[in-house]
Amino acid sequence: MTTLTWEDFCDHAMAVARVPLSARNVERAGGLNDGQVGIVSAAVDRSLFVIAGPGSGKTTASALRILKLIYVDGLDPLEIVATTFTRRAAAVLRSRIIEWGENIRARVLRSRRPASPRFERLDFNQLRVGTIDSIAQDLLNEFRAAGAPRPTPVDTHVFAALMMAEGVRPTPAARSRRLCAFLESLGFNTYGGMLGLGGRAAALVEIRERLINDRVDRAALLAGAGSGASDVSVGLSRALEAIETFEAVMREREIFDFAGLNEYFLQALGSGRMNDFLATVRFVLVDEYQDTNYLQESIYFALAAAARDNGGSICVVGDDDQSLYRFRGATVELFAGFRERARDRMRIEATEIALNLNYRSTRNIVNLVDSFVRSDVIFQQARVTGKPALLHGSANEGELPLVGMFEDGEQVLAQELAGLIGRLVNGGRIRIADAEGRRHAIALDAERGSAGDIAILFDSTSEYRASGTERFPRLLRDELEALDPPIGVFNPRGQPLKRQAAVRRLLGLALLCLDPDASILALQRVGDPVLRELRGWRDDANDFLMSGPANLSRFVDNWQRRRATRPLRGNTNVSLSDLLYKLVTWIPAFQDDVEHLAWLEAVMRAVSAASLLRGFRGELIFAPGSLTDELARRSVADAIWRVFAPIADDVIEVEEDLLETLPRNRVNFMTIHQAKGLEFPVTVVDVGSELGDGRVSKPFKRYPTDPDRVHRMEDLFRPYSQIDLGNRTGRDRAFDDLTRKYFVAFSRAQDLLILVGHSVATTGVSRSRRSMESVATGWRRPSCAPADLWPWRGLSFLRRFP
Amino acid sequence: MSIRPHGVERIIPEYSLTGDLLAFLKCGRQYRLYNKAGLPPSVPVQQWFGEFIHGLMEEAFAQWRAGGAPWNGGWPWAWATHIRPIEETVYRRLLSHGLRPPPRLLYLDYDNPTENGRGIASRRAEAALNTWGVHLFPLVAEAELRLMGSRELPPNAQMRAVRYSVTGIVDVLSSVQLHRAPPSNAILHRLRQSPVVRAEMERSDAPFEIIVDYKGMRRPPSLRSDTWLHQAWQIQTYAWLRHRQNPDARVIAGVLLYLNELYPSQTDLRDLRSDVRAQTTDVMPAPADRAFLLGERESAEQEGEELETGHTRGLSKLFLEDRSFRLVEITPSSLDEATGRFDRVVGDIEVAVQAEITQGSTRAPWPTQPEQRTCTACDFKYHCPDATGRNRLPQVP
Repeated sequence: MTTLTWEDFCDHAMAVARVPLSARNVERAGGLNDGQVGIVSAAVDRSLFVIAGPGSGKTTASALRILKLIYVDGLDPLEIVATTFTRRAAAVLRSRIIEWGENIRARVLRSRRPASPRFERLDFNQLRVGTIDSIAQDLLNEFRAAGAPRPTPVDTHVFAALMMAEGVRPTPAARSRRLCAFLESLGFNTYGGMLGLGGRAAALVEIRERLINDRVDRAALLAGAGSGASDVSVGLSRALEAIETFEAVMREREIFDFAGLNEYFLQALGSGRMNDFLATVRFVLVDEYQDTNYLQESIYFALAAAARDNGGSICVVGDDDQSLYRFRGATVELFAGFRERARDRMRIEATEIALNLNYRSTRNIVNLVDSFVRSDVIFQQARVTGKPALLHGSANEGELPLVGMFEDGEQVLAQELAGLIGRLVNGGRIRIADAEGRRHAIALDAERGSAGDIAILFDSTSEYRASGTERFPRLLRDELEALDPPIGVFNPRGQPLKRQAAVRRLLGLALLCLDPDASILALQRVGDPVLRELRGWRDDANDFLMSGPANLSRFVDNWQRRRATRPLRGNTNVSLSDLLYKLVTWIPAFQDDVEHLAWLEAVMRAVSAASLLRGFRGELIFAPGSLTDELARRSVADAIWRVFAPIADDVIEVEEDLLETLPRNRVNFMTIHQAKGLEFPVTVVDVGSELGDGRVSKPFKRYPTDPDRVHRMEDLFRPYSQIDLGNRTGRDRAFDDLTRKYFVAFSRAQDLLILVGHSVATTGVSRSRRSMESVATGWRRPSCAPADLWPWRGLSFLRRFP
Repeated sequence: MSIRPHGVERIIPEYSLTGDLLAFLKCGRQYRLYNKAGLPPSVPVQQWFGEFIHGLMEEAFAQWRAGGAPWNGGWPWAWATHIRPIEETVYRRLLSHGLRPPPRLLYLDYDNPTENGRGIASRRAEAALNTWGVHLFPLVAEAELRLMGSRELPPNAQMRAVRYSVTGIVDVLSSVQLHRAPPSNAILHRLRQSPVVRAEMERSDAPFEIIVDYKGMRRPPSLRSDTWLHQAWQIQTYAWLRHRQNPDARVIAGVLLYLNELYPSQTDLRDLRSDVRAQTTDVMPAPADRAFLLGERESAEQEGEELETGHTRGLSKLFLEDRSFRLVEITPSSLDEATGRFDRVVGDIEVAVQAEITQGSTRAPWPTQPEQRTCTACDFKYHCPDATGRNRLPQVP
C-alpha cells in the first residue's frame, strides 16, 4: 500500500495533532467540527470555498487537508501549492504540515513492516508554501531562461524613494500643478498644491500599484478619463507619463516591486515556459483570500485551471469580515463572489463550507464580536450571503466581562490605563464586577505572565501628530515608562524615523561631516520642509557635539577638514554606510536596543536604495585637504537627494515585519493591521481616544462622510479593468471597511478585551455639541434605522478602578 | 482569574547553510547584525564577490546550455566576446538587488570596462570559467538546485520549535554525465584520484552524484582552521539534503572550488605564504613553486590589498589548480557527524534568539568569535568589546 485509508489517517492525525476526525473518534472532546472534517475529507477534485471566522481553526483544517491529500489520495508534496497573506502565516502553516506530517510518517513506518518506499521517501519540504510573492519569485528563478531577470522585489518604501529620484525629480510632468489637482481629486492631501517630491512619489507609487493590481487598460484610461482639458484629466495624463518614465528605468535595471513581480509571474504562467510546472499542479490552497487583488485572482485562476485539468482542485479560505487591505489593492468582493467567478471563468463548482465556531476567545468576547459585525443592516448586504453567526466554540471557558475604560481626556486615560497595566504586569490584581454584579479578580500568570501578554491596538501607532503634538500612544508610553518599576514599550513605528532622537543625531553628525558649512545643502532645491528638517538634524548634532566625547569632536573635525587619519592614495571613494557605522560608535542605543536596530536598518535601507540609482550610488568622494573638489561636492549633493531627503520626507519607514524579536518584557503597541492573524491574552483596543477634543479631522477614520481615496481610485480605474464588480457606493465601502477593521481588532482578544476611549465615545456627542459618532463604538451608518448604542451594554466600566 | 500566558506559535525556523550557519560560526554578533538585521556591509568585498561568482557561473552555464553563437565556438572563452556580456548582466542584476561592488573590484571604470581596466573579480571570473567551467559544464545535471530539509532540534524546553529547516543551493553532477566524460576531463581526473571516490564510481550497478559548490574565497588552512572543518560539514549536509530530496540520489563526494586561488590577491598570497611556512595547508607547493613563493619580499600589509593582484607568474598553473580544488569524501559516518554538529549550531542560534526575546538586548545573547580577519572587515568593530586588532577608534575617511 502506498497510501493510507481514511480511517487509518484519522487515527494517526488524532495521535499527532490531537484532533479527532472520523466517526470512530470524532466524539472525543476537542474534536474537529463538521465544517473542519468536511474540509479535511473532501475528495481531491472537490474545490472548496471556506468561510472561516476568527479563531475558527482554519490553519488546523488546512494543514490536515494537505496531509490527507498526501497520505490518503497519494499526491506528491510537489503537486501542492499553498499561499498565505503573510510570511508569518506561511511559516505557521508550513511548520504545522511538516511537524504533523513527519510525526505521522514516523508512526506509519513504525507500524508497517516492511514500510512502503513511498512513505520512506515522502518529503514535506517539497511543498510550495509561501506568500504569493515568495512562490512567484521561487518559480520564476526555477524556470528562468538564460539572460532573463531574477526578480527580487524591493519594498514599497524603497520603491517610493526610487520613484522620487527617477520618476518625479527628472520628469517635468510630475512637478505640474495639474498633477496636484488630480491627486487632490483622488483624496491625497496635497497641501494646496505644495505637496513635496516625496509625497508625490508615494502617491504615484500607490496609483501605479492600483493600475497593476486592477489590471487597468492604461490606453483606454488615457483615452477616457485622461482625455479632457480639465485640470484633473490633464493631471491624470501627467501622472501616467511620470509613471511610465519611471517604469522604463526600472525595466532597464530589472528592478521590481511586488505588484510588478506578480504581473511578471502572470505573464510567465501564460507564456508556456512554466508548462512543466503547471503540469504538476494538483491542489491549490489560498488562505486569506479576502485580501486578494484582481491580478492575484488571475494568477490563482491560472493555477486552479491547471489543477482542474490535472484532476485536482482549488480551496480558498477567508473571511470577508476580516478584509483589511483594500488600500493595497485587496478587493473583498472577489472573495464574496468567488463561487460565481470560479464557475463563470474556470468552470469550477466550489462547495461552500463555513467555519463559525470560535476556539480563541471567551463567550463574552465572541458575542460582542458577532453582534458588532451584524448590527449594521447595510453592511449585511456586503457580506457573503447566508453567512452564519460566529459562535463560541467552548474551548475558552473564561468568564471575564468585557471591559471599557472611558475618560474625559487623553492624559487621564493614559494615566488610568498605564496604572491598570502596571498593576497587572507587576504582579497585582484588578477587581471588577460584571453586569450581573459578580466580582472578578484578574491577574497575569504568576510564573509565566509578562508584559508581552498585553497588546494595545490602535488605528495608528504614531506618537505625534503632524503638528508635533503628542498623541495617545505617546502619552501612554510616557505613563508606562514613568511607573515604578517602569514598563517598556515596543513601538518602533511610533514616530517617523526623522523624529527619533538617535536617528536625528546620527544623520545630523553625518551632515556635519560631509557639508561643514551647509553650503552644499543650501544649493539643493529639496523643498522648504525637507530643508528645515535637515537643518534641525544638524542643530541636534551640534548640541550633541558640545556635550559629547572629545574623540567624536576630533573625528568630525577631521572629516570637515578632509584630513585623513589613515594612509590614502589620492581621491578615495567611501561609502556613506561606512561613515554612518563609524558614527554609531558614539550612539550606544544603536548597539544594544532592538527598536534602535530597526531604525538603523531603515536608515541603511535608504543607503541601499541609493545604490539602485544612477549617480554616485551612495558613495562619497573624499578629496584629501579639499572642500572645493567639484566631484566630491557633487557626491555629497547626491547623498542629500537620495538618502537624507527621502528620510526627511518620510519616504523611508521602519519595516513592519519585526515579529520574531517582539520582546516579551515590553507592552506591544500595534496597528490593527499588524495584529491581523495574531491573538493576545489581553487585548486593549483604542476605540476613540481622540474623539473628545474635536481633533478627529479625518471622518474616514471614524464615520465617513465621503469615499476615501482608495474607494475613489477604485471608482476611477475600474471602468477600464475587466474586474467586473457590483456598484456599491464608495461611501458604503468606506463604512464597510471600518466595520471590518474593528471586527478584526476585537477578535484578537483571548481572555480579556478592554476598549478604551474618550468618554464622548459613550454618547456620540462632544461637549461642544459636535457629532462624534464612530463605527468603532458601534454607531451605524446614517442610512440604517436608528438604534441604541448596543456595544456598551454589558461592558464593565473600569473608570477609576480601585 | 489568572490570564493564560501568551502561547508561542510553533514555527519551524529556516536556516541557510551559508547565510546563517556558517555566518553564525564566523561570529554570532556579526551574524545578528548583518544577516538577521539585514544591515549591509559598507565594503562588501566578500559578499559581492560570492554573489557575483555564483550568478556568473549560473548564467554562463545557462547560456552555454542554450547553445548558439558564440557558445558553440569552444573553449577557452574570450573575455571581450563571451565573458564580458555575462559579467555585465550579473553586475546589473546585483545592482538591482542593492549590491554594489567596491571600487576596482570588477572594473576600474564601470561605465567603460576595457581589457586593461579589469579588476580582480573579472580576472577570477575568466579563470573560473576557462579552468573549471570547460570541464564542469558538460557534467552538470542540475544547476543551482535548491535543497531543503528539516531536522530535529536538540531538545530544549525553551525553544519555539522541535524541528528546523535547512536550505542550500548546489550544482549536481550525475554519474550519467561522468561516465560519458572523456578521461581528459579535469574534474573526472581529480575525482578518480581519491581511492574511496573511485571505488564508489566504479560500482557499476549504482548511479551516484557529486555536488559542487563555488567559494569566492581562498582555500582555508586545513590545520588549526575552523573554516576548513565547517565547509566540510556544509558539503556533508548538502549531501544529506540531496538524499532527503531524492532518496535514489547517492552522493559520494562533494567538490569545493576556491576561486580566489586561481587568481589570488596580494592578501591571499600573504596568507598562503603564512600557511606554507606554518605547514598548515594540505596543498603544499612543489620546490619550484615554494622557492618563488617564499622568495618574494614581504612588504608591510596595506589597506585594499585584497583588491590588488598578487604576483603569481612564478607559480605553476597546476599548483594554483590544486589549491582551487577540494574534494570532500562522503560516508555515512561523516554525514552523521556533520549534520549533528550543525544541529548543535542551530540550537545555539535558537538559544540566542530566545534570550533576545526575553531580555530585549540585541548584544548580550550573541557570542562573538574574535579573529583578526573577521574583525578587520567588520563594521561593528569599533564598539565591539571583543574585537581584535588595532585602530579601535574610527579613522577618517
